[in-house]
Amino acid sequence: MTGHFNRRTALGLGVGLSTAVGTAATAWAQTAVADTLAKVKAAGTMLAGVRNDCPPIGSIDTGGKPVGFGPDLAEAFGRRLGVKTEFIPTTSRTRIPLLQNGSIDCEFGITTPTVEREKTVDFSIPYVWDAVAIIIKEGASRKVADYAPPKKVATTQGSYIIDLFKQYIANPDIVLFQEYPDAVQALRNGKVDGVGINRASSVAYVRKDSGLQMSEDMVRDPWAIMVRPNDSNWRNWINHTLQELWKDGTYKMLWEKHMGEAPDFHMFSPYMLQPGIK
Amino acid sequence: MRWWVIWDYREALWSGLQLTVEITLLTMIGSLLLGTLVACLRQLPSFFIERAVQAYVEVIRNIPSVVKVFFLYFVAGLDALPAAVLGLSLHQSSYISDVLDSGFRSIPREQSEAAWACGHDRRQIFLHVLLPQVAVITLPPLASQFIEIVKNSAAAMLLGIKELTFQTQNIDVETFRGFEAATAVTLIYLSLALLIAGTMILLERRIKWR
Repeated sequence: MTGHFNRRTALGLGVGLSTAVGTAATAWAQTAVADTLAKVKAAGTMLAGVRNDCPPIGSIDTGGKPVGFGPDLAEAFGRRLGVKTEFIPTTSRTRIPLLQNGSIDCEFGITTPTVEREKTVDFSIPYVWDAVAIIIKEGASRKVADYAPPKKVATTQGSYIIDLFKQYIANPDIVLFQEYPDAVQALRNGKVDGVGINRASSVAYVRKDSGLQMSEDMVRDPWAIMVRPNDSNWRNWINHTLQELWKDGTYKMLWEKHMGEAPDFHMFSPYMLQPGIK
Repeated sequence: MRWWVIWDYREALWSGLQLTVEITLLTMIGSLLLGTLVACLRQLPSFFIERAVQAYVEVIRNIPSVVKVFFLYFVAGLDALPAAVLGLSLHQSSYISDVLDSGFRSIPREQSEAAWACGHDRRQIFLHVLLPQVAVITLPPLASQFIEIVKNSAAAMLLGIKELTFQTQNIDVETFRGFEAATAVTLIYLSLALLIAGTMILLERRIKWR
């Protein structure tokens, strides 16, 4: 009898504990959506999500420090606000959960605003206009449509390039890796025939004598800074600061530093910045 | 909470589960064979073999399973599934050989001596006196090793194999319902682990009863 009672008590405790944890997690996730601008100012630290697998946009140097265009631009944002910038590494898969649970305040990565993603997060105006193509071996066909099976194409899990493959290649055989260096290594070893990637990120892999080249472009691809939904104050500040950094030349200087050439696009619109930008 | 996303992705989860079970079973067989071989070699009265086996166990045990899997895939050039199964088998074989070795050590030396005195040769003593007892003694710790294989099988995801954890992360990136996906995969892994533990207990009872 006592054993039966104990088992029941244990079961009750287990269910109660699970419910409590679930409720706490939900409550915490809800409180994470607030005025991020005020939160960052009060904390004196901006938590910036940056890529660690996409040089020269974002990678880790030999000392373990995040480097690249993303971290440098994030730091420029932090300086504008007079706060410290703390870098949190993200991947294609982790960037949205980290934003949702409050681990990052914004993401300076290679994130394309899509309708599906907009159901969960909000985006700034495009902060980079890039293109998507396939890294292939030197001498291979540059036509994207030629990469149908038996050829294999790779990219990272969670990337929207998966949809582009399905759009531009007939019944593609897609291999998904967790990070780009693994995918490019698989290409070098002949495990796959191409790696779908943004042109800006490809700079790190497709160099002189690397034996690799780029295919034709699939699409022109905008990237935006990702923020939590329904937080206008924060999003507006990011949109305005981005254009101010463009206007004062900081953006161009950082782009040239990492890409080796001037940007071939203009911020906000092809002609001008948003009226009212100081 | 939107639990129905799990139902929407049932086919993906099912195919992921099948792959996880396939990797787990193949790794169990591989690591048990390899681990048994290593443990048996350890029992040989040879200084050279003993040192060689010790070196194997130390090297294999001290390299992370992910590194082994990556090495076999990227450097040795194996395909994704063989690389994952062989990498995980190598990894677990070192632990299994340790478990079996302690099983051998737990049997009193007098038993071998008695069998020897009765006229049995080394092979007969090993196969008919030691090995059957080791099999029974080591069943509970082997269950833990097999459960470890279920959990380690997630490393196959890094080679693009669409096993259970991969499919769960796909639910997360496609629907952003990470909590639901993580809960579902936790329950599935837990069920697999309990299934293994239960099977091993049944096996143990059956062998002991005989």
